[in-house]
Amino acid sequence: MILGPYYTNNHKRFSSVTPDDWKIVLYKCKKHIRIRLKQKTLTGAHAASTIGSDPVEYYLGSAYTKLLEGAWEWKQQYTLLEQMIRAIDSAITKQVEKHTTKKAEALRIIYRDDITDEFYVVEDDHFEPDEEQKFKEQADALHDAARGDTELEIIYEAICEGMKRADIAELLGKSPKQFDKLKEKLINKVRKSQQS
Amino acid sequence: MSTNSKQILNNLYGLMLEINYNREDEEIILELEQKPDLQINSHLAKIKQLTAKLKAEAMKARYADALNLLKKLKEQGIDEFKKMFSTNEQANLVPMFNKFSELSKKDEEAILEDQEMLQFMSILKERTDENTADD
Repeated sequence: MILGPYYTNNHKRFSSVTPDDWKIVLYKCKKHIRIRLKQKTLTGAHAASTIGSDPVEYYLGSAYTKLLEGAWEWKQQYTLLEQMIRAIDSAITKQVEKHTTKKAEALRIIYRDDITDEFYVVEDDHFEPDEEQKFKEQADALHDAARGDTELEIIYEAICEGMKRADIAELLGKSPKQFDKLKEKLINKVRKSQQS
Repeated sequence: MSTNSKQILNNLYGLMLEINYNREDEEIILELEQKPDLQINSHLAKIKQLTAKLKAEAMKARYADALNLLKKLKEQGIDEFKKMFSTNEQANLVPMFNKFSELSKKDEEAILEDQEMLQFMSILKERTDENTADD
């Protein structure tokens, strides 16, 4: 086992992380990986199929291992959750880029000031024609689920516009937390329509 | 048409990522208490195990570094090491340096068991590493 160059500094910060803190970070990262991989399939690169194991296990395990060992730096300005998500996103992007391009040396980590801006970044188009139809069906299902409910229709339009969480909540005159529940309602309606 | 569908789905996933990122900690803890997640618990156990292993590894490395430094101290003498510190720093570290002035085998053993001294020797090592890098 080799201690990385950031071990000492990372270790100092890890010593104040409680088991509950870890549970929250692991829970959010697990969900993050699942959503991120679905989002990445929109680019045509199926990161999950290229790593040869359960992607959640793979990305989650390698992110905290590299931070704990000190191979990666836990940057001072980031919380543990933010650092983990940045590390995971970077690993997923590298995996996708390895799959879609031959130039592994082109890999890079882009640090945007606001991490949530990274959640909406669109990748290059690499998808097959049969997938185009699948995406259209999914987008239509979302639209259908919103029909007939004014608030959900506003949310659908806002999603089409690429608006962020706080902006949509403001548009609806609600707190971001209240908006989260409404968005759940929309997603549940989509799920129900796909089951029936 | 297809790009538009793709864009809408991309925006939706972006929104889901943002909502997940901002979820209340208390809500998650409550959910995990009511419905424990085996995968998360397994990772939590791995993290504890890895942390303990790494800590042991770091202690071993610190001990090895201290031994090397003691060897260097014998070869070069304490005054050479003092030169790496400013006058102010030297004044603060006088009690530590004094312990090195006349070292017996027994003193060396005591140093290697003394956490405060090991910490001091880590500082010494960092400083010697910096000096070596400067050369």
